[in-house]
Amino acid sequence: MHGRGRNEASKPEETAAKALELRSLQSQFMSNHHQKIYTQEAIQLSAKLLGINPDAYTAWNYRKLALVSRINDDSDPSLVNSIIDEELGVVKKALDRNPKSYEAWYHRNWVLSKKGRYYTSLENELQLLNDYQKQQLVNDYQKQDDRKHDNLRNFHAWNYRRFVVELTETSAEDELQYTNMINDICFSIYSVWHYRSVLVSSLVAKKADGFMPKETIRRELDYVHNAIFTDEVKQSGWFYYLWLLDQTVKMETPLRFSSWPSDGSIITTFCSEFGSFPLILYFDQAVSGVSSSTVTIDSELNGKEDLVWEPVSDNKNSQVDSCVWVARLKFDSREPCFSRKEYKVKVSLGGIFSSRGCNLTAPYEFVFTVLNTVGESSQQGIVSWTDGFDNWDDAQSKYLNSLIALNADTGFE
Amino acid sequence: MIDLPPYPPLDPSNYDLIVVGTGVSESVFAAAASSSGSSVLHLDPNPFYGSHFASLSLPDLTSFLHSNSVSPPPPPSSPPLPPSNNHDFISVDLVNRSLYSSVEISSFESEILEEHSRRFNVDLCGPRVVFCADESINLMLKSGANNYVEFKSIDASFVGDSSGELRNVPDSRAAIFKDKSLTLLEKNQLMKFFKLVQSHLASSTENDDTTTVKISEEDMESPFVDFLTKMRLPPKIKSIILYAIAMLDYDQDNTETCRHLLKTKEGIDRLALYITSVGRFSNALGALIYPIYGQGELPQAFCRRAAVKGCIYVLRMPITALLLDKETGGYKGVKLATGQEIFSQKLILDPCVTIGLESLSSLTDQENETISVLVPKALINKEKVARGICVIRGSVKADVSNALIVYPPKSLFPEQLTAIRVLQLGSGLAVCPADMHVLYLSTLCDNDDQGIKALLSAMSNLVRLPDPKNQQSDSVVENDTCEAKPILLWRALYVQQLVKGEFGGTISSMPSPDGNLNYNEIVESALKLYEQLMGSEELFKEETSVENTTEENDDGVDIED
Repeated sequence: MHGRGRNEASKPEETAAKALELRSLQSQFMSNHHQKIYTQEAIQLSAKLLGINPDAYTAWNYRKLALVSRINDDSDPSLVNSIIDEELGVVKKALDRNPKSYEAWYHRNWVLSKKGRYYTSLENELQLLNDYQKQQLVNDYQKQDDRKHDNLRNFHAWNYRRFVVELTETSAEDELQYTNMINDICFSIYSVWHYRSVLVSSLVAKKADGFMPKETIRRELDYVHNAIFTDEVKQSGWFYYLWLLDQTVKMETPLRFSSWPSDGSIITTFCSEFGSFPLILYFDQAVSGVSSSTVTIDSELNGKEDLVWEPVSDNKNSQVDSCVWVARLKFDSREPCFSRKEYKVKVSLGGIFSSRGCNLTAPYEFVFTVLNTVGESSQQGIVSWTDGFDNWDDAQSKYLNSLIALNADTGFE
Repeated sequence: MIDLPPYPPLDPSNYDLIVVGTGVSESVFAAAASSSGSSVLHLDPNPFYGSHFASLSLPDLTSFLHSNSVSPPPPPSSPPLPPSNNHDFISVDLVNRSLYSSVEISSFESEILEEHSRRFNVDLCGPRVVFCADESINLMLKSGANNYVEFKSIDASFVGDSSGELRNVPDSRAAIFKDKSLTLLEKNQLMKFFKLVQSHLASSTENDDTTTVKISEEDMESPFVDFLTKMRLPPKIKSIILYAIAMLDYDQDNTETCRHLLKTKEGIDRLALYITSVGRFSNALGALIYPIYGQGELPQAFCRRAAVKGCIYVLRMPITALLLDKETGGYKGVKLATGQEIFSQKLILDPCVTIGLESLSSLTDQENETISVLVPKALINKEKVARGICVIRGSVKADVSNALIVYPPKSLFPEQLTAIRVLQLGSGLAVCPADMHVLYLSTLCDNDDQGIKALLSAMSNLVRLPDPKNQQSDSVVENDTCEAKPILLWRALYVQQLVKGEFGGTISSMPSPDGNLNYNEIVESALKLYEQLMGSEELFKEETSVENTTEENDDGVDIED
């Protein structure tokens, strides 16, 4: 629970004797450490020290050094296993003494990450963790059931759990089920809700089955409503609720975009009888699915051909999400239908989705005018499109994308 | 009159206390008295322990019910004898009162049941469970009798109605969270109410009047059902609280027929019992537990405890007469069926032991006073409890073996005046063979027909009668049906009279099984009687060390203090 100190009451005479023993152990240990003595005996000594004081991080580091000195990549697997067993045994003793020792948990983490692949009992690790978390401590029916589930509240255990899950490649869906089960026992544990948010985010990002953003958030909102209505005093549910609302806010913002040419502008073509100019769409989030089926051009300029839309990004694959999309609009004033001076071009967009599920809330159109001035040159507003966007290099396109992201809040339309 | 094989005379023939009948109250009494040093002789006419609280096989149960029910008058063995005049005693003949009526036993699958007949341990006083915070548990812990019994959890608790749907009872914070049938607002209201009760209970243990919320004195005196309305609990929730958690019987809203309109004070006590039971023992799933091998294990446990402390046990030993002092009319002793006379200071009797009305006329006033508790009185409130037992193949709810189901008043049919409680128990409790379950039903009633009718209604809601045509292909049909109601194999219906215990000086009478689900009232009344009879010493106080027979049973509930 928050704000409670560790309960270590003992009589003065006992403390004095303990202190003496500890001091002698410590001095012996330090000499071993300084001289890099890694014999069996020395290692046992460090284990004894850690049994009394699990927070002695120097001792843990010593053990790390000892382990490294004893095994290397081509050591016999059974030796590796037995050494790992030994280390985990020491960690367990330390955790019995202080279940919230950062150093002990980290050591466990370190040991397994170093040699986890070789460890035969890796699958057990998750099971052991399950047992540890569900173990009920206090057997007194007068205490509120909060106290019984102290092991469930140990955030170190949850942290470690994420590590083990990654190592054993357990599926996120399974883990979500696990949090369901834990919530059924006690739904006021901060760590569980936090873990849930991590799992849900990763499942939505992976686009896993049944985890489309909108439906997931709806489901989770219904779920957390149960918690906050049943006991509004318990804060952990509220934090998760706030996080969910935060996700919703991001999601329900409509997709915003800008274009060049912008609505109501006048483009002057000159100097050439035919050519093309780019039509550029900027979105405030990376989108995919911009193609001639989602973007329709209505004008005399356009021939029967469909426009090819390309994303401006380092990957020229059109499946990629990008904030910037370009197509080339061709004009040819030598064609008989291009005898007029002015042509209106109407561009309509619809059905474009961002990776977060936002879309254009309504089909949007913009109209610009193309002035055909062959021969007459005007010095005003000349923009030369000699290069086009094909030669934009990676850095520039990345820069442009990031600029747009930064500008998301300035409300361009 | 009674055929008994020759029995050696008991020695000694003088005791501090004689107890007749090995029901729960009598056994607790014997254990307590023996522990405090009294010499006790404990007799029972049956060949088994437990009397009306025993767990028996199907044939034994059948014959017990029949022999203890309203039946043709006992063979006129002898004309009412004038009290015989040997020694200085007057002998007054005793008569066994029948506790049961309307007994009806039906068997639908006789061969199968015959085959498994010894695997059944069926309770006479069912449905009955033990609450984890029940007085009986405390007594068992105190006396050390808990070493002789093992318990398992009841898996789930449901509320039923005429639609056949069984809804979970939300009895704890975690259960409320999980419950899919409550609306969000209902969850909030119910939790608030629980918190109020908990805070009130906490405030009574700590003397902190200012900070903790209490229920006002005025509210405590008001009817519980009104208090619940005041708390703005919707009818569905009120019903759950009244009948599935506080375990009330009578329809509290119906002031005409309600025998016992509960006050808030009592209601809170009942809720407290339930709430403190949830989570009392770390491996109990909920508030309710059940002894493996049947409820008959409980009186046996106390008897064992008594025997260890020196109590003498004789089964198959009825008593035929009381012996009263000629001069004073006071109690002297009893006459056994073997003819032997045994003397004691005090006597505790099974509720079935009474005196024939014919013998009364010839007694003096003093003698009458002595035996006052034995005179069958005209019962004013003829309260009875109708009980039913079904052996079924299958379960009333898929994936659940041991469960309690409560039908609040009016939920099954509109004239249902009292709650009907149903308990299903499975083979995990060693009460029946593997693919079967035992179903216990009970409801309080005014007359036999009313009670039986209510039970049959509940049965038809839960259980399917075997179709005589499809008897062979029954198993095939079962697999296909989506309703999948379990099939009835055997059924017993009976109505039991409710007899209260009574203190009568040297001769006192114990209560019959009551209509409740737990043992709280029975045990409390036994303790009260003990205090009246033996003085107010603390019971079982020297039982500090416990004989450790710790068997590792992963599913069993560890009863620890």
